[in-house]
Amino acid sequence: MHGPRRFALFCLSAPLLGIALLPALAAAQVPEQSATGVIPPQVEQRQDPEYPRGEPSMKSVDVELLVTIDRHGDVTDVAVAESGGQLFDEAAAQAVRTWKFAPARRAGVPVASRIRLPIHFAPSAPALAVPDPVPTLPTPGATPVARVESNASSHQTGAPQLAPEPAREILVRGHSSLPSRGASDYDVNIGRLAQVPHGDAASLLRLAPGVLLTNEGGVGHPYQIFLRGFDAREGQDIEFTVDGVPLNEVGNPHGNGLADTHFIIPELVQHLRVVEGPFAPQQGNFAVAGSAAYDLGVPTPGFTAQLMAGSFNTKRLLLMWRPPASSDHTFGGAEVFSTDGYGQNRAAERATAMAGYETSLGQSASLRLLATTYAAHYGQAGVLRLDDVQAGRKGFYDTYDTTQGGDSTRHSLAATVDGRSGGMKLSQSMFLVLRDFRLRQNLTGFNQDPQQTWQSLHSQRGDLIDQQSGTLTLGGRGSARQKWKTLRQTQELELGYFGRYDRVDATQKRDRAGTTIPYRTDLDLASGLTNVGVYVDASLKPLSWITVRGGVRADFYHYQVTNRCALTTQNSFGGDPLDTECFSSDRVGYRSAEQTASTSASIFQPRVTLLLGSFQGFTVSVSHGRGSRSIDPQYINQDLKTPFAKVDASELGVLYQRAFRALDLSARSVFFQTQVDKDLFFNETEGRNTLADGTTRTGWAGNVRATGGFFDLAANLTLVKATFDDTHLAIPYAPGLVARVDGVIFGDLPLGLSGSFGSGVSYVGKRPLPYEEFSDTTFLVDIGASLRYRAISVGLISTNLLDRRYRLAEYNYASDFGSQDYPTLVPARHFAAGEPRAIYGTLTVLLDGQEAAP
Amino acid sequence: MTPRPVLVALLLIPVLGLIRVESGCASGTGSQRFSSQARVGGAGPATNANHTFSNEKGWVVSLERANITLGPVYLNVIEPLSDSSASLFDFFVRPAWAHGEGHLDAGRIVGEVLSQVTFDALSNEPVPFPAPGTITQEQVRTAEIWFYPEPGVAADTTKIDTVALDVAGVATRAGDSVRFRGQIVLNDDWIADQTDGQRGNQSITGIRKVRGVPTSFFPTSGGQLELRVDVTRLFRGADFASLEHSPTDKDGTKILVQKQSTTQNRDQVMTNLYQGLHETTGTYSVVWGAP
Repeated sequence: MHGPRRFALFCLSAPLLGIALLPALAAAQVPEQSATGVIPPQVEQRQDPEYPRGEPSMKSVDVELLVTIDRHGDVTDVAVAESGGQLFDEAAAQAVRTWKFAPARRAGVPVASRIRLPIHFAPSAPALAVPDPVPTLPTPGATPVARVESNASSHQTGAPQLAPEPAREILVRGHSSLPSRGASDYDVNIGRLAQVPHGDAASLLRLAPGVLLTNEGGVGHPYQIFLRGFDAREGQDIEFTVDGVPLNEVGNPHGNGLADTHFIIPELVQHLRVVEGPFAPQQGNFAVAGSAAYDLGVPTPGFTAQLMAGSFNTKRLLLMWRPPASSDHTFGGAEVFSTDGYGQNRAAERATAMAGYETSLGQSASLRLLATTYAAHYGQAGVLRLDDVQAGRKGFYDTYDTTQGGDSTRHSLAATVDGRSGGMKLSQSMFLVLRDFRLRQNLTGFNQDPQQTWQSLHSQRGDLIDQQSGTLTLGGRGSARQKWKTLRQTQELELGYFGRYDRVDATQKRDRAGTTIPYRTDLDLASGLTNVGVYVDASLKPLSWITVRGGVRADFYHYQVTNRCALTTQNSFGGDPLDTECFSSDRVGYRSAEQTASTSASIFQPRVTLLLGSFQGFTVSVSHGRGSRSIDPQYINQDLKTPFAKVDASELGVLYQRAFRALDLSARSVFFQTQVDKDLFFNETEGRNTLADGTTRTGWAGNVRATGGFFDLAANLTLVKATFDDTHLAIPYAPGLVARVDGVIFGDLPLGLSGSFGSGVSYVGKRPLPYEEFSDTTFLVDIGASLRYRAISVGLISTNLLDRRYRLAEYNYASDFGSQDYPTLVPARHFAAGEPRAIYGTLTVLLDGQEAAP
Repeated sequence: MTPRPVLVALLLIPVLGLIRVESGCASGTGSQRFSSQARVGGAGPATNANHTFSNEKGWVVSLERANITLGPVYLNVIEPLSDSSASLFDFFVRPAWAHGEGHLDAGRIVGEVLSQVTFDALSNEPVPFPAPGTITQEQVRTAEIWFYPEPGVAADTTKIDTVALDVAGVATRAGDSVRFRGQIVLNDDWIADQTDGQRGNQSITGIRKVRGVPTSFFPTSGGQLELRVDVTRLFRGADFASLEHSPTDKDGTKILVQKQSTTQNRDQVMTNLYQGLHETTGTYSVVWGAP
């Protein structure tokens, strides 16, 4: 065992997530220094392989190995690229696994790498020499190859020697990062923090500053996300992608831009990039508060099976695999999950399967395929009135309406081709998504069904809103990036495009209380929505310490929306049948119940970032960008001039990053301001987001990450003031303070065991509510611990360790659930209960190359 | 020159400055919400010493009893409807909420008193509602006075016991004297001609609401809601001569009839009382008073 205690494949057994990523890059993007490129790994300690004793032929044999080295210099994987026979393969691999390297470095930062290592077995030959390859920069999906001159030397050891052939290949593995957009560009290296309970892919967002997740809808309902003072609801203000496939749903009746991340198996998340603010020309529709890009993959080959069980009859079975000698984008993963939930009407079930495949296309290109399928069915408790709970009429974890709940399915195919042609890096991808969504929720009880003159006499029939949509999404994106040298610096230019078409059928109905029998139609739309984006992105370095990045993006939006129930109130002189829902007459006379509106518009969005540095690890960044968000199809009128919301954002930040001997440290401090001309806010009476006027958010975000040989610590703090532009009143629900600390310690233990312990602490300050009120604060502690012995790992997780009874979401609005003597019509406090303490155990079996070897 | 001190300052100083955001310097969301007391009492000539007044039909009415049970009460931001019954627009377009259930989306409730109170409308001494109300700090322009059943009885129950108005007294004119008594119960006697399937703007809950009572005030914390009822408005057009054939007590007191039947029509006095009870202007006044 070499150096400080660390784990090779241990993190794969971490509870719930089991993510073991090769931290290919440091936690933060930094601008490239006056580039010397990548420094390859250097052998520090080695043990020469022994000529197999069982081999009688005493011949010379060559074995070529693919050796993966992590950022700490440990060998994490050895695969055979060219076999010399089983005995020789095993002898070579066994020896190389014990080697210790100085890790490869890019711009001074340790990075994971993979090298090809030829081993020559000769019965009486000396010398084992270590290659000294020339590094090359990686490209996403491609396999750069550099032929180098070997200066391998040999010496008398009586051991096998490396082949004297000078050609070596070196691949710098893992994520090839896009150019940094400054201090708000978080290349989230999950690393050991996978040990901290996160639970799902959306929760990984909390590793970026300022992210708050709430969920009044239960396990299957998409998270409500707060970022930098934005209530992004279920994703309307954050552009989500998974391997380049957009998640945001245009025209979803619950929220235009809804992004459901529940289909993502969190253990398959290899990398997450969060850009807070619209500063990169690649960011498209819905990147108002920022964007989150998930990259999927499995970093080490092997087979993982994990069973989790615990509180509330929760069960989860996870299976993952990656074939040996394959890229990390070749994998399979499946998950089945069920729970009874932590209170009334919170049961949920879901299943996901994801598969990826990557292969080379010739010498300079690769093809990557991704297929996913997902389905979920869940109950939803909704919200409770605080006065009912305080009066004892309802329990804290009760529900008013057990017919609340939802269903969700998602099926997708995507293909990406990456390659190089000369000095130009090319990428082209296409995707197809089929999505069905249904949500039933009752937020107001019995006060939204007044007696209308065109209706049979009735009392309040209940406010259960039943929203449904079916969506087909087809699209693609492509880019071409070129580098060249000017002024002795590397300059870059990228041209790209994005195209997307959505065909959406969306309805919203009201159901009778306690049933799913609709009695009224609120919304019935058939929409065709097209978005085409084109951009130019340049990275210019006039001097080694000045980098200007950015360009311009143009987005074109086209809508064609057929409202199949355009007139829902009586506007005629009478004569319509009683209880008509979609009227086909008005004061002029007969009209069709349907009406179509179409419009289009384009917006030009300049985006620029100035980076100064690095100065002894410090980098200053200034960014400004314009973004857009397409508006809900229900608001489209014929020839509407601006069918999108426009956002202007600016920020000033400082980033510090340094790799010390036993510590990697990064810290950042960012001022920001974002202004939106047409904001969206949740309307409880309509059950969906509705348009409002302009708003501005001003704030500060800070982040620190420290990683050492036995620990990983991250801390985030965000302060923000969010106000309406006309009244300067505070925007309700957006938190003014969000803080998060994640920490993990890990190491080897006696008896061949290894262990880790992680903890996550969250604090959310009081949130402004309507009517000059504030919500409670939230303080939560989660912990996770695991022990591993060989291929078996057991773990224990506790969320909300302190068992705090807290209100996950709070609102002020009028509702009447019949819980009082008379109808209550004045806004009152409502809340969604947060989960009480939960405890889960995990059992993981991990079979990788080491365990598989006899 | 190392910029490190400057850069460290850039890292740290904003933390100190922007902590102000969490320290309470953030602006509010407007429209404070608070609890307030509410009370109701009589108003007008009926509260004078002998509770006597004259009406438009020339009768001099002396009331001996006028008890009213009302509640809950709601406050709305919407403007009151003008008296536009003679307008051409209203002739063609049914009023949004003249007497029926109305549109909850016509306006927004910003205050409520969720309790019921019985009081003597002949006394100008206000009686507090049993439970305080809740109000948000917005301009109130109309009030709604509901005559709901007693707590525990569903709002759409057709047969109820709650007596909205209980009156007794003597009416005299030109030497004629009529002793009378009567009770208004807002039950299905008043919508007996409604049958299932007929379109109508009167529902059982609708007739138990008086909506659009004009008022205008901006509530402030520490104040209280005061409701006044001028019961004389209920007798404005009552002609007691119509009680000639009404049923009588043994002492000759005429009993006002609300229920239509094959043998007895609803009397004109009772109809006036019902209309007066639902009159949005004149019968009620709603103000915001000092503590």
